[in-house]
Amino acid sequence: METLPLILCIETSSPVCSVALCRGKKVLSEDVSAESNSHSSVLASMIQNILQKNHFSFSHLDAVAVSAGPGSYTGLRIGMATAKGICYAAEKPLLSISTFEGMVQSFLAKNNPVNPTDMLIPMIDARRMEVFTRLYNFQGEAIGNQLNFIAGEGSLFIEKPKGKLYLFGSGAEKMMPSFTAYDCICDPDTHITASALRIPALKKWEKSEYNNLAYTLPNYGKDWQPGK
Amino acid sequence: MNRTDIIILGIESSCDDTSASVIRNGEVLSNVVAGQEIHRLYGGVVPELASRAHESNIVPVVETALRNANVAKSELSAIAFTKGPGLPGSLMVGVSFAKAMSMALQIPLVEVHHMQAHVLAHFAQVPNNPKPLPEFPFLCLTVSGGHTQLVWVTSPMKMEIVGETLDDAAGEAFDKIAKILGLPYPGGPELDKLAREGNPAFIRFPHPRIDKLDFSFSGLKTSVLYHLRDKEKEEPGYTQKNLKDICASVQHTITDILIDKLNLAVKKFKPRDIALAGGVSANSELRKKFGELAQKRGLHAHIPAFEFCTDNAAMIAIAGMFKFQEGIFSDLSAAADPRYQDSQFVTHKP
Repeated sequence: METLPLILCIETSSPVCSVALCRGKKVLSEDVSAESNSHSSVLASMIQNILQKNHFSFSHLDAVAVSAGPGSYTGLRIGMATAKGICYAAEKPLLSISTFEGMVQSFLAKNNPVNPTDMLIPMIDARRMEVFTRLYNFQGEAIGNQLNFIAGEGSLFIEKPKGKLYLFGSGAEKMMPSFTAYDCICDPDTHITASALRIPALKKWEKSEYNNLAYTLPNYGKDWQPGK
Repeated sequence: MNRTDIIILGIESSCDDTSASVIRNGEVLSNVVAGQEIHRLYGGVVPELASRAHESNIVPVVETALRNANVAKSELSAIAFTKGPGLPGSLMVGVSFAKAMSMALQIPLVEVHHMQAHVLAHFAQVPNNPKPLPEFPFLCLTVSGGHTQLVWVTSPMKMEIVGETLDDAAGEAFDKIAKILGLPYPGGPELDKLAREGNPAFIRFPHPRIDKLDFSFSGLKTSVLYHLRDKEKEEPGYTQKNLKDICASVQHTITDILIDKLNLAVKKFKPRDIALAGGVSANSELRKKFGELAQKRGLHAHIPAFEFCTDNAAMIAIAGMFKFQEGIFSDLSAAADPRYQDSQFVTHKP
């Protein structure tokens, strides 16, 4: 009798679409689409394929985890609607996971250990000179809330950070000039893929923190404003 | 449930209404539509807001449609969805959800052309209240906020667009002119209401000279704009003072343009049945003139119930049923197509 949950992870917030099948913390299988920005035509087939090749059906799943954003509006819509459709039809719980949480897990998997005074700063491009970001400590725990950071406007920090700053994700590189005063390392190559969602998804699953199927929405990062 | 029953769940999300419907053997068991009030604030449909609202409406709407129909998910034969045409972000939500459901339930997936579905809405039957169905071939005038088409329908699967608008749709003309007149959004129904008490001969707006069976409505919008501008100069307050008469004159002109072309098409195609479809078929004057034309020419006239005229999922489910019977299914790579063209639904202007 298997006690660890089987979780299907879906990541569509970035231009690269990916799905992963995870048993507890273990990644059983992960598929990453070679084509970028083709989520709407590839995602469903990728899900079907990953289940089939691992000899599972939808009824075997314990939950579906979806990367909730921030990120591409189109990508988020497709991922969330697909996750909802599966959860609704197969009667499975939905786990909506912050894309930042996934990014931080991807970073830690690649760069452990990090010093206790260091800070992790995942950045997601929000066009122009703006990024969505959130600060995390060396263990990957969030410090404060999600922010919209605009280059040259204000500071991310209440007090000067003592350790190194790790900037990563799609918005990291363009923000580097704003961080010249800090001991800062940029890693624009840390991209999130679906398997990165499994750690935060497992935490939520263990606490039965399921998301409401009807009213859970992607984290768009910004309210829509007229004239934009 | 009978083993041979065909039970289809239809999902429609092409514009600002999220809709789901369950039909059994062509009978509509449920047809749930969640509109989006938010667009009133902006005087028109805002695509980004529409997409976001679909994402929160989709589960409750589908759930309600199944519950109202008293059908379990496991009883469904197939899922039909709107592939296009429509707003990309809006379509994507319905398409993704439909694909995921069909995959998880392991039932066929059927993609539907939104405009073809408007025509096939005539085949939606309500339980215990059967109505006569159009006989093939028939001529359908589809009039909505996004489209104006004359369609020659030879079978459920084969249709030809024999005339269409070259610029604005008729419904768009109603809404835009209503906006010029300062009526609240959506202006079409409001204009219809005011027009009922006005004089349709108050102003004679010119009819466009368009070849063959095509339509044009953008010129009328400009005529109205210039007329009001000139009159307001001569007599401030002209628009408000004569609002009902202006509305009646506009409505008279739009419906005349539509019916004139329908009449021309009737002469050409000599059908026994004519049909009206799309949201603008709710317009009282259009219904009246449509009925009169049918009577004058001795034709059977078909106008669906209002709930099957505006965007709705019952028509998607009906169109899906016809494809299902023919065994025409989609695979999981099916994607939303905002400018969807179907090889069975072609433009062929005589």
